[in-house]
Amino acid sequence: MSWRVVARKDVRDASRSKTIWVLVALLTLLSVGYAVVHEYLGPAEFPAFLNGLAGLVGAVVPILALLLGYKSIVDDRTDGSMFLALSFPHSRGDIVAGTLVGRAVVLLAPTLVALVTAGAVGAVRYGTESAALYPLFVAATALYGVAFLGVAIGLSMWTTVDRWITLGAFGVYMLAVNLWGGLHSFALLFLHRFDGTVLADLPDWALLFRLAGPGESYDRLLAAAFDLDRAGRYVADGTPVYVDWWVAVVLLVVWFALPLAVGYRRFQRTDL
Amino acid sequence: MTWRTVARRDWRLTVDARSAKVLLALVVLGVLLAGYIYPVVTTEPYTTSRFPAFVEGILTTLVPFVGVLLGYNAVVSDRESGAIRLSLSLPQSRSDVVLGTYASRTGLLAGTLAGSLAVAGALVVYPFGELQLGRFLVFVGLAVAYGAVWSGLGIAVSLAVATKRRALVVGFVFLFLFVVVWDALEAATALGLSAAGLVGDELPAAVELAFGLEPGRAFGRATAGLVDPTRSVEGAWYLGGWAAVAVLALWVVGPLGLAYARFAGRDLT
Repeated sequence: MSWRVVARKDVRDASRSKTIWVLVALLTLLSVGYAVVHEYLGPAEFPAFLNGLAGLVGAVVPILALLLGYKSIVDDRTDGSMFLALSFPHSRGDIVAGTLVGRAVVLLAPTLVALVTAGAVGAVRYGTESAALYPLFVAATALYGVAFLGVAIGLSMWTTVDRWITLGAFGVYMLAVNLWGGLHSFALLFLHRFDGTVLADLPDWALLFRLAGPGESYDRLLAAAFDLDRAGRYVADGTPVYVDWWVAVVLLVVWFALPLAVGYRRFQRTDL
Repeated sequence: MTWRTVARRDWRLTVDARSAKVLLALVVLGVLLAGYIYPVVTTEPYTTSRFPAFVEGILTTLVPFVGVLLGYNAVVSDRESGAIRLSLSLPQSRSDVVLGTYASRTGLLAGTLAGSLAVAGALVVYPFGELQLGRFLVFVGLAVAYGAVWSGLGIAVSLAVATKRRALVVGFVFLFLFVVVWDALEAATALGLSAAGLVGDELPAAVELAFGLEPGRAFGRATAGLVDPTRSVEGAWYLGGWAAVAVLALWVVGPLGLAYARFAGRDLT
C-alpha cells in the first residue's frame, strides 16, 4: 500500500510548485470569467451557458492534464530520484499508481473548485433550469481530464527521450482535441472518393469512429444529461445503440487505460 | 528440411534490402491505387469480381518486373562471390538452397500481393461495391500464382547463368519479350501470314495457342473464365479458364525445373 506515500509526496511537491497555482488561477479565472461574459455571447439560459462552458473546459482541461502528466515519470527517472525511490520498499507499480493518483488529485481539485464556482455564478445569473444535474457535468469533465492524464503518464513511461515526449503530448492534444473531427471527415471523404454527401449523412459505423475522439465522447456524455447543441448528431432519431452515452464512458476509460497499460508494460521491463 | 533455414535467412536479407522494399512498395502502391480509383473511373456495378479486369493491366505490368528483379540475383550473386560454396559446405544440398531461396522470394511477393489485394478489395467494397468472397479469393490465388511464375523465372535465370550481369540481361530479355513486345509480335505475325496469303483474318489455332501461352495472357484468361461472371473466354477449350490455370502451373514448374537441371550439373568454381 505504499502508493499512498508516493501520492502524498506527489501532491505536496505539486502544491509547492508555482506553475500549478498559476494554472489553478487561470482555470478559475477562465471559467468564472466565462460565466460572467456569457450573456454577451449567447442566450442567457443555463443550458446555453453550459454549452459554452463545455467548449471552453473541453479545450483547456486536456492541456492541464497533459502538462501535469507528461514529465511525471520521466523527470524522476532521468534525474535519478526514481532510483532512490525504488530503493525504498516501493515497487514500480506503487510509484506509477501513486504518481497517477497524486496527479489526478492535483488536476481534479482545481477543476472542481473552478467549475463549482463557475456553476454557482452561472446559476445565479442565468437561472437554475436543469442546474440540478450540474454534478454530472463536473463528473464528466473529471473523467475527460483523467483520460488525458492517463495518456500523459503512459507517454511519460514509454520513453526517456525528451523530444518524443514533448512532441507526443503536443501531438495527442492536437489529434484528440483539435483535429479529430477534421481527420474523421477527411477519412470519410477519402473513402467515399470525395463525394461530399456522405458528410451530411454519416454512415452508422462512422458515428462510432467519430465518438472515439475524447472531445466527442465528452460532448456525448454531456448530451446525455443536458439538452445541448454539441453532440446533437449522436442523439438524433435512429442513431445506433453503440453511440449511447455509456459507450462514451467506455471510450474515455480506454483512452485512460490503454496508454497507461502500454506505457507501464514497457516501463516495468526497462532498465533504469 | 534445411531449406527452411535457407528460406528464413534469405527472407531476412531480402526484406532488409532497400531495393526489395522499393519494388514491393511499387506493387502495393499500384494495387491500392487501382482499388481506390476503380469506382471512380468505371461504371456500375462495382463488385470484387469485376475489379480483376481493372487491376489486371497494372498487375501484368508490375509483377513481371518486380518478380524478375527480386529473383535474378538470388543465387547468382552468391555464386559470383563464392558464398554459395561456403553455404553448400554446410549440410544442405543444392536443392535445399534453390527451394529455400524460391520459397522466400516467392513468399515475399505472394504476401505483398495478397495483402495489398485484400486492402484494395476492401476499398472496392466500401462504400460503393459488393463483395463476392469466393470469386475474389480465387482471384487472389491466381495473382499469387502469377507472381510465383515471375519470381520463379527470375530465380531460374539466376540458376542458369554464372554472372549477375548475364542474369540481368537474360531476365530483361524475358521481360521485353513477354511484357513489352508480345502483342506487337502477334499482330506482326498475323499481318505477315495474311500478307503471304497463308491465312484469312483469323490466326490458325496452333499459332493462337502459342501466343496464348504467355503467362500474362494465361493469367488474364484464367481471371476472365473463373472469376468474372460478366466476361467469358471465347475460343477452343485449350484457351479456357482451367486450361489457363494449367498453363500457369506449367510456368511455375517448367523454367525452374529446367534451370535447376542445368544448375545441378554445374561446377561452381
